[in-house]
Amino acid sequence: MLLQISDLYMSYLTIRGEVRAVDGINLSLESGEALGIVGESGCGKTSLSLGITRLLPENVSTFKGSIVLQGQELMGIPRDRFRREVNWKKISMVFQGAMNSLNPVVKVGPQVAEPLIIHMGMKKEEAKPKVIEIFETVGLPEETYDRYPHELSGGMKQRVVIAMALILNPPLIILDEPTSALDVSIQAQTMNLLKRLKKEEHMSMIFITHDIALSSDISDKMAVMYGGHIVEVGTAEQVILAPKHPYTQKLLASTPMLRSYSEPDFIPGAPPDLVNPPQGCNFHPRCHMAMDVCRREDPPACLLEGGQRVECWLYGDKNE
Amino acid sequence: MIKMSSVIELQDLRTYYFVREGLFKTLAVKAVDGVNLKLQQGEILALVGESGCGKTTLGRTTLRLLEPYSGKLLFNGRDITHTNMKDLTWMRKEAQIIFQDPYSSIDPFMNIYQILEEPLIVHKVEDPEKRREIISTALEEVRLTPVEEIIRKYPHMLSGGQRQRVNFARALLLDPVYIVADEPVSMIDASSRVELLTVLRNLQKIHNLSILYITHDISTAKYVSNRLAVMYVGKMVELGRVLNIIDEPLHPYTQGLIASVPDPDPNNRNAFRKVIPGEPPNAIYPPPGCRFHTRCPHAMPICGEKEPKLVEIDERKSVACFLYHKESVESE
Repeated sequence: MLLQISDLYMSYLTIRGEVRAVDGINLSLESGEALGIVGESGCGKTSLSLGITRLLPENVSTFKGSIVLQGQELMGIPRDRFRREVNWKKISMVFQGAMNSLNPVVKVGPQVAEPLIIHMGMKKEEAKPKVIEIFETVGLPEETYDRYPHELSGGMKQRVVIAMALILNPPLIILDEPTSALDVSIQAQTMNLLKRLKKEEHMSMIFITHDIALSSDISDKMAVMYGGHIVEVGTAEQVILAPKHPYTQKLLASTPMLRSYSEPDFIPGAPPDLVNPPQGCNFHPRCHMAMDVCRREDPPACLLEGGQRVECWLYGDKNE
Repeated sequence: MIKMSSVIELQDLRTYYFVREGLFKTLAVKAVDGVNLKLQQGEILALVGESGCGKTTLGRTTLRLLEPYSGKLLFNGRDITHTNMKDLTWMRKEAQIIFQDPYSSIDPFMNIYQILEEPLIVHKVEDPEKRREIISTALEEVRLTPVEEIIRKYPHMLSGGQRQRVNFARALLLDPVYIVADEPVSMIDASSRVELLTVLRNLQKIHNLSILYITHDISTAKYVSNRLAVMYVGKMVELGRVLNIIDEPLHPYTQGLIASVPDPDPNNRNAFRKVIPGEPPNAIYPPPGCRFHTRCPHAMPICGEKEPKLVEIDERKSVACFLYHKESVESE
């Protein structure tokens, strides 16, 4: 087991009240595996990744639970030590639009070398061959080292950012909507790169996106998030071919398909307000299967045959 | 003779932006570079391409928010290529636009009623009762009900999908014949996208609208449109019935674009995706000949020398590619 997250809670304090962005999450990831987290905006998927990497915003009011990486509990580590010992070295992250956060007045090579210099105490000259090696891994020519960000295209900058995340060879990399600012042809190139890294370098990753089709392009295991909860988790085959939670079913049905002719469906209403989430199951106001119990009580986490886990009253009896 | 059935007609239309370089040099960004297109009445045409291909520029030019550099632009048969902005007031009622971002395209300090009333006041619908009636009808058509409740709300009280429906309603108020919808659902949550597109399709039917649906997402184009036009660096490379193109794309660029888009399928992860290599060229210095030849897996010597013309293959499809017609060279 590479990563084990248990009962993770995270909430923010805002003027309107407490936002429960991550509301009791359990997830695990094996080495060499890609875990896809799929959900709509505001479902808490980015908060979850910020929690794992401890990049907590100032207004976090609750942050509790357990995150174990390679047998080591991360929750107790103080912030400074976490930054020195875990970020970049153990877990690195590629954010949405990260390629736009490169420093425009510094050549990209030295920027990628920075973790080597700061975390490993290398000299600039020592770091350079390492950077060029990692550039080659992500398919960037050697001369990219001496380029400024504005001289590179969007797709190349994205590769630079991925190279930076790989430079200390961390056991886990988290990618949060890494391709959503890219054109489809560049997106497909980036996905091929991630596939290659997974195959050749046995990279373990958490891939976060709102796009279930894109997620299926890389994920071995998929977790569907809704209103701060993981409503369903299983293998890609289970989640896509035999979805159990009504939300997953509807989300898949509302994805327009290019290669089949079914008329897409939609989910009426809007995602819940996490300051005042509905009582019972978060999804019940939009659910076509809602029963009385769904409006009263939180749904149980049900482990189904084959290892698929669903938080839904429809499968409640199977929990006993 | 002008056929009245085309609402919008573009003839060799070019829209350039000019950028200064240094003190004396001016460069032209050829955003739209010689496009011929007819949009029929009652048709939804999807214009698909990657960022920078000129699709938004083309859309805005058809509304005369931009002035063409050359070529001809006809609206309901009337030549409006270079008409003075002041003389286009009549057209502002007939043609409308829906923008991508529902968060920035409506005024946060006005309630929904005020937002929708404004265009009616500007276009001199004097009777307040009449205005109220038009507004409620529009809101009902975009399924924002109960109307009495909605009109008192402010934009921040609505979800993204609801705000975008306010934009749809606003576009309808003046009873237009033509609407440009520029990425109307790309900022909307996946679960609500289809709902909005369904509203758009219904509006088209109710009002017999002609809609130019601009998007980078070919799978929503399949759902919403009748015909599909694919653009690449200012040029139209393929045009035809949407299902025909998706089933059997002819242009290598269209083929690559379709291959790049995944459907939800657990088998996707086991294979590498067929991709278009490289990145789109700069529209200031487009490559000579066919603009796609630098990335094309089937490029032939002629592709780097001559520019292919958009030629009709059958009544359903046209394509600009030498693989299908050797002699059709674009005249300079």
